[in-house]
Amino acid sequence: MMNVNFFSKVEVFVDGSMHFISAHSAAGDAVELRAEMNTLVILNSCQHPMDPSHEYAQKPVSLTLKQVEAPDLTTFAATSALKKAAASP
Amino acid sequence: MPETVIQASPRLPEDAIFSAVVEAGDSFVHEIHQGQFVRIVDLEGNQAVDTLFYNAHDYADRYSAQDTIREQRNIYLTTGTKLMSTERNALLTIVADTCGRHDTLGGACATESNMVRYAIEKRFMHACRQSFLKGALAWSAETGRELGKRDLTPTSTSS
Repeated sequence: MMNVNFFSKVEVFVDGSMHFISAHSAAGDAVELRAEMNTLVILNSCQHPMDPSHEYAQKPVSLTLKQVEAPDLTTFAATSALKKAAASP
Repeated sequence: MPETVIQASPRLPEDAIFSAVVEAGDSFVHEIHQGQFVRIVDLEGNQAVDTLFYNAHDYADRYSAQDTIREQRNIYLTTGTKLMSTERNALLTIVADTCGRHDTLGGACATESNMVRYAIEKRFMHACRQSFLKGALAWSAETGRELGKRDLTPTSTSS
């Protein structure tokens, strides 16, 4: 099973090689997800396995949970939301 | 592993101790021993060969695309790639490869995805998921060892 590594950036070159990009995420950066179904979430805040830093430096993250209305059909699909974002100046 | 390596094998087909043709859409299960070489030949070209690997001593220790990719720092499989297990054991190494590049990200087809991709009536046709399960259950029946649905890697269900 694969996991998600939020805030980590790994670039893939044309030859398939992978490169960890250090310091990609800045303090205050946030990612927000909407639960489309009841979901169990397990996360931890350790270093990325490809992070070349030799310092064992784990850092805290902040989590907030907010109750929202069920999405309407116009915003339910991520693609339609992306199209909207692309269309707006 | 910075580049694709085309490497022909010095081993000859006539020296094989075992040989089989897996028919289109069929499944195949076989235990191989340390030091043996397995050659898979694409007989007609452009065929996908969806494959799972398990530690023969412990089926809970199985092929892991994520560990394989991370260990070699490359998303493509080719000569030199070590196929890693979930417990970080090197299950096999690709020692020869005349194709040059193999995928381990795309997953395997399922009847559900085939209904979407081809036609609703393809629901009853062969798909990787069912072939894997058929092979696993046949192996389990033959050996008495537990191997079933929960041992199968998740596959794509749509595309």
